[in-house]
Amino acid sequence: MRSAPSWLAPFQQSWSEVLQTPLASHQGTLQPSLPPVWLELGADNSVRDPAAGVADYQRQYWFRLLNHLQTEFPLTARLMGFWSFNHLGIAYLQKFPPRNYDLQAIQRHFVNYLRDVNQPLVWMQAARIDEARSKVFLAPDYETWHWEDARVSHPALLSLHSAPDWMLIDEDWALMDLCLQLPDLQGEGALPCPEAHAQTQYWLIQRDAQGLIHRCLPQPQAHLYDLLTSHTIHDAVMMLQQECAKQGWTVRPSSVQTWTAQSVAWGLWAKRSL
Amino acid sequence: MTDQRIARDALGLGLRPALYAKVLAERPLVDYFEIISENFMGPAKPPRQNLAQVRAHYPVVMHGVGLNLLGHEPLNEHYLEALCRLADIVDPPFVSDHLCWTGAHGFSHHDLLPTPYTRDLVGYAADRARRVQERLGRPFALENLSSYVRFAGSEMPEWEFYRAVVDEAGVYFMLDINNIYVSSQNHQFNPLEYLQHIPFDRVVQVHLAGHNTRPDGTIIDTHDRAIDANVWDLYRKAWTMGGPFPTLLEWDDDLPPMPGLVAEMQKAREFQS
Repeated sequence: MRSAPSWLAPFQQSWSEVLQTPLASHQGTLQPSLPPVWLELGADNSVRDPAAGVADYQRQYWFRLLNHLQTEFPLTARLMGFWSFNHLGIAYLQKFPPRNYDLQAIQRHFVNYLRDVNQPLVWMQAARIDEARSKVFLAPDYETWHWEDARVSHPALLSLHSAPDWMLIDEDWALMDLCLQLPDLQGEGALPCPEAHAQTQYWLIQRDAQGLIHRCLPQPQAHLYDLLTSHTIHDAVMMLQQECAKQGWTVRPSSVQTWTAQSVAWGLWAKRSL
Repeated sequence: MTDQRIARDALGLGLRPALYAKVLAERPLVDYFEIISENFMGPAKPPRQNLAQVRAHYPVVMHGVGLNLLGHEPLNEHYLEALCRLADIVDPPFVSDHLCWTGAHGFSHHDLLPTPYTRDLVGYAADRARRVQERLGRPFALENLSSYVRFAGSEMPEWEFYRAVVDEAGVYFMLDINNIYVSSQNHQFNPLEYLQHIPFDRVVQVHLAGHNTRPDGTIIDTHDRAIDANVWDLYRKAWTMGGPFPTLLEWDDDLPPMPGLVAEMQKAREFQS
């Protein structure tokens, strides 16, 4: 294998600098903004303005990434409004430029970034919902666990393996309802913040054959499912009871049994750890 | 699985996520589909499930956008491994990607970027293309770019570089007629001269797509509309020079309903004379 010509790495370094230079806000639009290093690219000026050609690439770079972020974080983008979201997206992508051939990887740090730059809690919760919906939908395939797969003498001793296609989300505003209405809410402007809940609500997001399903769960049920991901059924139930006592929740033993059975019926558990 | 062979005059469509449900429900009259390889290289279940269902009824070829053939860094072994695994599943008659670079210094730019066309880049590119074909164990083809900038440091026209790389590597041409037209207008060269340098017996497939002409005359390769009359004219000339060849319509955004998409694809028959 022959080596790359010596000019190639510095040439591509200059290109990368040009592409990664953020677009400028100009009269309400995002416009290319070429750093001086673009002159080192050696663009030919014999036919058309070379700056315009390089600017086309810079524009494409940013709009492709911003469009992808908007697609992956539709609730967050509409709550913030596309203009503000794009500015935040540019700042995020400057800190975390893409490093993977898979475009899906660009949003990996976005939720943590919102936290790091002290964005409002409602936007962070919206971003967690968007992230969860994407992760759940794009989860790998697995084999669902059923009661008859149990290999222990007493079911309470079972440790269940969480299936990859569900997540629990909590919200303090009616974000999930808004999220599910988004297909009917055209536009790019910021939507009003939805009503705050009297107390935190819990959602189970799960993939099914048609797409995603969203189940609003009582807090103890959500807590039980969370505990079951890392404890035996027996230990999870004991810990739930302790939490019930601490929080003042009234939960009948039959409810715990029903919730556990429901989790199996809903296919929340996989045959083996993934 | 369906027979993966593609007739030399086959007409195909680019398979995009917005089309999965329609393709499976309507079973359009399409000879084959082309997937974007990277959309199926991860572990996610829905894309793989959709691919398996389409693959049960149609031949499928693979087209990549992330190989980074002209990147200065070594080829990404993880990428190659995932590409080979997917090819083993899909079993396409050929795999293609672009004669361009897509990332550098650890960054991925998610775009098809040009370089100066120099003699010292030919051997480097050819070695890498040959290696990809060997790893795949099946024909590998390179697609020509549409571009918006050219370089004073180029030592040869694009077609000469393209042919030199393909010839030296022993790989194949995935010829994009729209890209030739776009670049010919942006850089003022004769697209027929480009075609005259292509040995059509090594063309595994031709791409067609729509583009957008801006008020300043610059043409952007957008894949979001019907094929321009000038591109059809160039396609007719290419067919006269080297047809038959499999022809694929790429339409990525603002997709029309399936019948309109199929009609645009089948329009190619009108220019095959």
